[in-house]
Amino acid sequence: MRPPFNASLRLGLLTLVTGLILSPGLRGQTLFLNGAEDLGNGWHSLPWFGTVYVDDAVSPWVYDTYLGWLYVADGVADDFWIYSPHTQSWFYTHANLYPYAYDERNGWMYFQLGGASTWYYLYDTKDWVMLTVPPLPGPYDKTVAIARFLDQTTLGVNEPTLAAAASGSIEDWMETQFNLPIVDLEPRARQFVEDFGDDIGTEQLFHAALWNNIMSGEDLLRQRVVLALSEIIVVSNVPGTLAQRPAGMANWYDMLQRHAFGNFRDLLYDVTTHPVMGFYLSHAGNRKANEALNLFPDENYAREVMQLFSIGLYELNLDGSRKVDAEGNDIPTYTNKEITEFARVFTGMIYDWRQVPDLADVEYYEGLFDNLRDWNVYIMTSPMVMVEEEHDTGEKELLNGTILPAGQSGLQDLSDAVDNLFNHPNVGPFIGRLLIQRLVKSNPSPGYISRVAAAFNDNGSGVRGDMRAVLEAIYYDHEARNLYHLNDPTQGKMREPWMRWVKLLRAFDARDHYGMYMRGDEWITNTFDQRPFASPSVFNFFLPDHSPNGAISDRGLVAPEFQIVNSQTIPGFINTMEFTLWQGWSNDEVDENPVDDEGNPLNPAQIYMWHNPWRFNGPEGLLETAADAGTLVDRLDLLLTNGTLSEASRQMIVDAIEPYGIWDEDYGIRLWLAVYYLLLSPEFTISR
Amino acid sequence: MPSLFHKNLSRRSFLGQASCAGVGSASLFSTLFNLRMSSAMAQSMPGISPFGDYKALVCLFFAGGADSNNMLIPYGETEYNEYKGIRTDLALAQNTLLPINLQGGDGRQFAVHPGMPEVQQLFNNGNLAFINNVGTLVEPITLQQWESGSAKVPQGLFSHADQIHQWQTSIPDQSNSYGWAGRMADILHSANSNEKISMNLSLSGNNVMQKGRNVVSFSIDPQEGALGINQYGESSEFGAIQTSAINSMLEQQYANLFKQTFATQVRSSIDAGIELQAALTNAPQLTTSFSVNQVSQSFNTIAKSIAVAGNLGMTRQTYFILFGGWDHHDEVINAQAAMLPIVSKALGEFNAALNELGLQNSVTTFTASDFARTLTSNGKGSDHGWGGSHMVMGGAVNGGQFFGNYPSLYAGNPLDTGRGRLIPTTSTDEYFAELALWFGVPPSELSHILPNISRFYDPTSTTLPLGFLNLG
Repeated sequence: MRPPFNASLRLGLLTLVTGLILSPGLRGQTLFLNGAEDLGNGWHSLPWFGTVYVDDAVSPWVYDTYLGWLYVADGVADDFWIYSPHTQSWFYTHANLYPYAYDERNGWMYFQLGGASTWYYLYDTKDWVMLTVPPLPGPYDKTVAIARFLDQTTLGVNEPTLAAAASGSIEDWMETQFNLPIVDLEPRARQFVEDFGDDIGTEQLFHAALWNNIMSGEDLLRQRVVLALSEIIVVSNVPGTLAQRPAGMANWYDMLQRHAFGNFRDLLYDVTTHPVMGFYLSHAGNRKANEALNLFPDENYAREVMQLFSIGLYELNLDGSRKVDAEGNDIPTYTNKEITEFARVFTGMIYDWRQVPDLADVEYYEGLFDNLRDWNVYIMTSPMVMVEEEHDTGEKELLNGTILPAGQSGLQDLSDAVDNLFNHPNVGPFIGRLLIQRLVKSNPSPGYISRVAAAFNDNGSGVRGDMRAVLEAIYYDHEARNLYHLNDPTQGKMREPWMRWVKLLRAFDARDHYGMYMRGDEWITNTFDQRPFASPSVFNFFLPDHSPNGAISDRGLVAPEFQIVNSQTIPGFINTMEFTLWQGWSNDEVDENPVDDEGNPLNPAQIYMWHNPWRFNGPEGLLETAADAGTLVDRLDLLLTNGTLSEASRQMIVDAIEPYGIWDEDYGIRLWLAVYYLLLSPEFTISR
Repeated sequence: MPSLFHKNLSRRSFLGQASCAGVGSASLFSTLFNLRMSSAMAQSMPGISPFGDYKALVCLFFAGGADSNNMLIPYGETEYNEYKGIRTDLALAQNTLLPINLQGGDGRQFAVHPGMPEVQQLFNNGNLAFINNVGTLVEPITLQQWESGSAKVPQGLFSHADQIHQWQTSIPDQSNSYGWAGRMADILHSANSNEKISMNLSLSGNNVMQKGRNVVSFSIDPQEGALGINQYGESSEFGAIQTSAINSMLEQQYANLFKQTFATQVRSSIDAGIELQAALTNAPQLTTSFSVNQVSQSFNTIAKSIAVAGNLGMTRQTYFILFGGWDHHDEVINAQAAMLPIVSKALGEFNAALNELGLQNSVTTFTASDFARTLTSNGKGSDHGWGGSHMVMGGAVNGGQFFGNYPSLYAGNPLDTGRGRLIPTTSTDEYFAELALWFGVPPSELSHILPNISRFYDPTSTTLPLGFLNLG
């Protein structure tokens, strides 16, 4: 072997290492294979590196005949950061450097290649180490693949659902899901309001109705997608008047349900005219300018519909990267000028006051808007109506030079403006990336984004905005499906804390003590920093580009959900799980006909108010399984961690639960403890 | 002679930082950078020693863009009419306003919102000052430059997400993940002997302002203080097994970056929480009573935490409170009538508590917000604006005064970019530079904390950027 580097060479190379610019726009593998000779069947020969196997479908993984599987990160020219799952470490190398490399944990190293075994030498410790290349995990069991698929497509499944899905293809499962009827939430919310009106905080009535749909519905995919959409096109029922409008919130939810597999253009239009959005972003009652009085149209919705719900702040390429001008600067998609123009489009809309019986005959008059506001006329379950007299009928210049001519009707302006946004080339990559982040992973490759954006732009039949095509592109992509990605150290996303909780409840068919699904959840805002449809602002619980300090931000990656991980929510979540589980496997019988202390039947809202705990109802035979701790953990592993629990974590849980239940053969405590440890493990917290 | 940065220079902590900051080229770079900077500081400022005193900065952030035009209001006849003329239906009646005794100034009279009697009193007693027309600026800009596009303006101006971010980074011309208090903690953290608990404590969860390259904020609950995992560390049978199980789970090395990041965060959260909560339990009982709302309760917990800072070996701390719900496109009058009294009361209570602890000169409280709002109305409320007024409070504050010129309000005035969105005449850089200098950042390091500062202020200057603090 060659002698170690002299000091000055080392210093020069260190500069090279630290000066390395990671370019998210370039995939390492493509660069890595530059100049390689294609040997066929996926094998390539690189003169400087050796012979590697590359399956396009497992990009950016390569298999090297000496070093085993390697993850080649983004790089520039012929500089590479490479991760080895076998040394569990990143190393840097270069065409002129290899087989020397700089390992992040161990410093300079040299690979001794070509012998029966591969060895490497560590300069800092002067040690020779044999590179153990363990067999790769897999081929994975089909159940693991299905568990992972359902983890991305649902809010959680029980064992029978998992087994049923595993018996068919994912395409069949998707087809079935796409065709399931919508279960409307609004009637349920109205029923709850009628049953007991003001007995409990009305904002809880919406959440109670929501729990029923989430826990009892068959339409697993729709529920998951609706929740994803609710975090992209955000309204929130805290604080303020929306809390008092459970039927309106449920109507909003149903609107999202209707368009989840429909067309994004229809979604955007119905969002724009929905009274809940009109209230939340204050364009309900927005009026044309009165310059004499210094009154101007409200710009709130105009801004957020562009920034958050459709095109974003900067011009994007199909792959989600930002376009740049000649000076290399990002190109804003709009300026304040366009905001004021869109604000003029969104004038004249108001709650449909004629739905109020006393106002059914009232025609528009000067001052009506002010009076409606003073009387708190908030009709939240019918689309807002357009009042031409309050609409700005002047010419408007929208995006990309589109002119709305003067004198158009308000509804025509609205429709044209929604088209103007919908047809902007940004929508596919912008919304596509956000959906991938909610459903599959935090850091989709540019290729993944461009494949999803292409499906948005054209579903194959020339239709733009087909949500079903977008979802298929997201879920069928190799970055979502191929199990080799489990080895990718950058793969995955943090499960949102609320979704971790729901996954638990759904896995064990949780119901309340009375066999229903009513359970107060207002307190989780404090312990999780997350409660669906109750985000602190229109910017959702976390931002799409949030990046926690350390390994993730050092690599230029993002992990949005980490924005709500802190020293309050960490113990808050764990303690909530302990509480839920401790009560969950109680031996109490479910009471199908609940009564109060005086024997009067309880209605759902009263049950809800009493905060009675969740009861778990499955899966069958699990308690018996608990007699063998290892078998129990394996079964739970498939249900909660997609069968990917590491051997070390599995052993840790087995060791922690085995001391219990030995004397009395009551293994219930093992059960809840095993789930408890699983739920707080990094392996459950991170979904890959 | 002990150096302020002696810990950074030790081999052990050099390695510790490298592993702590994780993997990747950036961590190597930042570690080398810190080393270089620290040794430069040690040379340029021989004899600098760990701080002998205690200081804390408390940020009260009004999320959503508070309409400060109705918080601090022109009161003299001419100015009030100018205000009323542009604010139309958003103008507060003159006879409801609470006038303040402004020292210095140009003869104009001012008042505060009717719901802020405590602020009126704090100002008149010299405990509070206003910083006027302050906002995010890339460089000084005139209306002509604005109209011709010949000077740089903040990215995503008037947008919540961008402006709330830039008010915390004070770098409006770039995407930057780190806040100015985070960068401050990166270079000053070894002033605290405590290695577990962050210099930056948040009462409102994660935020950008307190996030540094190496230092992240620690979150405490406004009511409960530092939270812990039930049973963890207890000697019961369950507690012992659970503690060892959690420990072994967190000690594992995870190849997946998300898992490893999560495990690291849980570990440091547990360790810091145990130590901080133990100290808070022994905090002295205050006779000052605090209102029962999130803002006052946050100040209450901060007062307790400040009281025990010495026991924890903390000589420098920052605190962050987020008070949301200020995006008043609608109902600005009624909403502010409910929210500004909460602010005013909380500031009064906190000031009283600090006096009780005898720490009023050691703590400076300041407000911030995404932006102020349009002077003109949209018929229901006001829309996103730019420059606005903010408050600073504390014994070190030169109270009863204005810093930064209070602008003219008439439509079409030389700062009006339209609808009364006013070009700021004081930058967040100047505002925060003064806070940083008071906190103990050496002038030579100011441009590390606030990279754009030299566009507004010469760090080698012998005068302060605005003069609202007394460094003596």
